[in-house]
Amino acid sequence: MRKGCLLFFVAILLISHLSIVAAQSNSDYLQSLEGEASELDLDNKTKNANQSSNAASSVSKEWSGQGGAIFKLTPGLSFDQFEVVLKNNYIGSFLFYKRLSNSQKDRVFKFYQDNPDPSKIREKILQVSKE
Amino acid sequence: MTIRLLLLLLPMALSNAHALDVKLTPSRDFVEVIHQSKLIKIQRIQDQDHTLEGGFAKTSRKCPPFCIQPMQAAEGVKTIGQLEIFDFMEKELLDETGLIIDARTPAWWKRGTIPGSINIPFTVFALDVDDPQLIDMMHILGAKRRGEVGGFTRTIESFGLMGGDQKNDEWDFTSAKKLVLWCNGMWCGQSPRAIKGLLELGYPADKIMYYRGGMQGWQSLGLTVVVPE
Repeated sequence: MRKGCLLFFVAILLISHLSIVAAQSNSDYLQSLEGEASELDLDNKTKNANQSSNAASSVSKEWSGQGGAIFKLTPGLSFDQFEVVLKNNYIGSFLFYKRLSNSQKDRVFKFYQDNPDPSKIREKILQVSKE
Repeated sequence: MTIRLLLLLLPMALSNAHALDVKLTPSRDFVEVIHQSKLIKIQRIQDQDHTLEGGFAKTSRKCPPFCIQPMQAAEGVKTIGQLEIFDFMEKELLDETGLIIDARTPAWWKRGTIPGSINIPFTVFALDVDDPQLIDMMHILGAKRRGEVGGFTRTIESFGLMGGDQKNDEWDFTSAKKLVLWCNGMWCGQSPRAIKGLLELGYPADKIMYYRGGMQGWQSLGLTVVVPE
């Protein structure tokens, strides 16, 4: 009986020791990670490339030179205006749209002229892109 | 005659001026991706004399913990390279059936990340199954926490019926997204840990991919990085 109790006590001690060791090793790992991260510096040239590729902000500038930005797919936009609004506000759909052929783009634009509802236009773009 | 020839050649010369000398592949100049609601163009540094600078030029870090990782992070998990990531960005990421996960701790993420990535530190996947942070993150990945599941239902599911191969007692992975996990590169154990955590939660291995090259591979090719806002 005494032997059994002793074994049980040793097992408990061993388990708690192992979990403490595991927790300690996790915390050491996190500490090492934080130490490495604090010294990290990225190559400036890759960062510069990123700054010049911010299409969203360059689009806003284009519009500010034309008497203010248009943010909605309101009826009556020209083809160019339609594309810029799409790019400014529906980037995901725009990425699909820009891969379409010119004739497919025309079809989307004609669809917009009849249905200036953003959700329907997005569906149309997806539908045409799958053809 | 000479002027005519020049006029004819001028548009060609101008169009060539825009072509990149350092492309991604012979037929691909760049890839565009949405990152934090902005369109980011991923391309390579065009300066062919440039050599890598900064933290990712460093070759040696203490091992352990920064040891070389195996090619395969876990059984059933595919290891991929940069080209597969570009394809993933243009397909799964764009149609919202996939996510690219920067599995590093926030301190690394803040210094710069691969465009299109979201940050879910590997530590999240080791949280208790009822932890709200884990539940939130799993929800982002498309996995749903299950309520009480009856023994009868689980028995039927265990035969692969009722979508049982995509479910366990805790989670429903039926709508789980395809994932690409990455960290700092071949010497980094953060994304392998995240992958193991996900598999322990029951996330289907065939929906997980491991980009072993990580940030080091990305930087060594001079690819665009973004510093999160």
